[in-house]
Amino acid sequence: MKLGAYYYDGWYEFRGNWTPRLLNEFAEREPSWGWLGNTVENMELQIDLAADGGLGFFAFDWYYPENGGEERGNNKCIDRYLASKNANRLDFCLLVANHQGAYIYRDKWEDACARFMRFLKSDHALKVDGKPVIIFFSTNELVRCLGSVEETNNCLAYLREEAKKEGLPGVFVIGCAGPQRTPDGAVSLVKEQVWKDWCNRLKDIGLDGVTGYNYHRGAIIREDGTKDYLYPFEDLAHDHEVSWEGFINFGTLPYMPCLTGGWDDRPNEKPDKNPEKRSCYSPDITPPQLYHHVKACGDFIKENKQKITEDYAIIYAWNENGEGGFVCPTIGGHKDKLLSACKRAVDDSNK
Amino acid sequence: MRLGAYYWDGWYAKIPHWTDRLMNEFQDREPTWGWLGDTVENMELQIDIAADAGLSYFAYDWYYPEDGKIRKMNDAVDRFLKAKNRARMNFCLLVANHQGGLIYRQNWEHACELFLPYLKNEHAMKTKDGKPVLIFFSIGQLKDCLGGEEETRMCLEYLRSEAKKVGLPGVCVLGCAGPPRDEIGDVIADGETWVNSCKAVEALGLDGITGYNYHRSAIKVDGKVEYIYPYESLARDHEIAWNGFAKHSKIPYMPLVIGGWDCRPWETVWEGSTTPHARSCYSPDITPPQLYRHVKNAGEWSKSNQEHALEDFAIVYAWNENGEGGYIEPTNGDNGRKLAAVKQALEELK
Repeated sequence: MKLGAYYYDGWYEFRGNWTPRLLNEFAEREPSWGWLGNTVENMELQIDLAADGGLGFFAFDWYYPENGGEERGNNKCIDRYLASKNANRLDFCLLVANHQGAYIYRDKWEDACARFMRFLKSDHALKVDGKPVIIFFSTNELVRCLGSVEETNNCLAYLREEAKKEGLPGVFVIGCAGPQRTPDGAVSLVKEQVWKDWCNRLKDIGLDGVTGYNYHRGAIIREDGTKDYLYPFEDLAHDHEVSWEGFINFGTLPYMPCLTGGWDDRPNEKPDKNPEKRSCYSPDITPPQLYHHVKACGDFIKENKQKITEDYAIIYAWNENGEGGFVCPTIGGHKDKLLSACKRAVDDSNK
Repeated sequence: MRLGAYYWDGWYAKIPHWTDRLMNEFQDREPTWGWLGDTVENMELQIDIAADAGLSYFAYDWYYPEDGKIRKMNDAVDRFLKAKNRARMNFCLLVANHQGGLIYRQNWEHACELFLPYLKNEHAMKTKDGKPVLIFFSIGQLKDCLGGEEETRMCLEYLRSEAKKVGLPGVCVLGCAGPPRDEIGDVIADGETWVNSCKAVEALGLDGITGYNYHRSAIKVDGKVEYIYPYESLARDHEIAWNGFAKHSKIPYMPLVIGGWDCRPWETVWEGSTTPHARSCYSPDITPPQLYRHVKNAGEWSKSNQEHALEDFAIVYAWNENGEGGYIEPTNGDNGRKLAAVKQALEELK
């Protein structure tokens, strides 16, 4: 099993990600090196920690400059990674965060591909069958912004052709997709045809593989219509594990299992101003629970070798400390124990 | 508000309370000074940390030697009394009269003999009329072990008369009592059950009521049993209880503040105990601002319920019930942020 982690660089300078709630109420989430991480030396430290923690690659969240101008500061982490002396300890790929503010419309596709290319060509690129990997955050937005399923196929073919011109054998394009859920919000395999239709659509748009960013739950909707939000990590992890089954059982594309390192977005919620904008949160995560989740993934990969993208899996996340998905060491809470749980699980899976 | 904290000394040696789950899964609960806290010097450190945060007293969990053997866990209060800085806080006993520490009628006089040195101590927590405070963990066991309501009243009178013999004006005896709950486990806010339960407590001859903690066993929802429970709801249950006692009790109530409940570390089979704790609701989402508001609410309740409150005293569960998840002492996981929240609330209540 080769486990990667999403790397979200909201921490290159003090800005909106550091909400008052994050700094005051959830101060224990501060990384062990401090909140700021914007130097090559710091990236070298993070690479060492991640590699020593059993991780095999980072998938860096990358934003297309939808409104023109310079790329976001968030993208610079990749250059810091590429400038690191120890970059060879981890592979990398892009997670193209094609959501609001970073959509890639049809008329920008060629420009986006040109920007992708230097990363795809890198010696450190994560590869499947020799093809560098690129992940898109939203398959729905990919299709919507490119105009149609057919046009998306054309665009992805263009990307592959451009890569070939650069001497690469192609590009392995992975799209993030979520599982089917029951009306109460839980992940479920019950609606087989819905799953099959969904998986077929993912194939039709021309993807090479499927994964997810994270499969967090919106709310627990009770029989009387009321909503609850406090959600055991065990159930959150179970939702992910059921999702793996869904994509393997009903899909035909290779799947890269998406693991959860937690979800607790309370630092970004504003109960007074926007009480409805909430999501289920799982503050009861413990290192042994994470160990079992990662180990379950290792076992799942062994049992489903033919349908998995190499032996890759990806965890949400290295440093989504605001949204509550992080395995990087922190100054409080579980400190480095979530990462060491990952390490043990990866090692045990690879024995 | 004078806020105290329950002090449970399960940390004097590596004993079965240090479960596999506590050590492996909940290492974030380790106190900043390490798991062991068995020296006078360490007690001095804890007194300084607690007093700096504005805590007024420790209520030490104390066990009657039901089997004739004095428990090591009782040593904590003696370490307090040896501490150079003990004058920074007061103290009282929380008589943990549950299984293993039960006080039967034939042992009552002996128990009183053991209480008296603590009650007489110059650092004893006292009411304004000079009576030292003594808290009993279980009023049900107090009554049952002493032989009923009338016998309990007589026993408490005996204790007060023994105290008077040594020059004290009496003893302020508090009993822990919880709020009534409905069939699904919700705390009941008002009604006949409150009237009856308060009458039953008053019949024992206590001077006041408080609680150890009002944690919830389970939540029954949509035909399922669930255990994860928002801290906000847990704190609200306690606040409902304050109002219930204020409304229905004829004797004063000392508000119980909940510093958390998450007993998962003890829901395991481990060396020394083959019987794991039953599952109970746990509240892993506690944050310092939530605790701050809860302490603030206790202070405001105390001010606006002066005729029902035990002076301006309140108590928090707990200083160091790290196994059960009720702790405000600084830990490696929170770096003292919960305690800082308590301090901030206490300062603003001044």
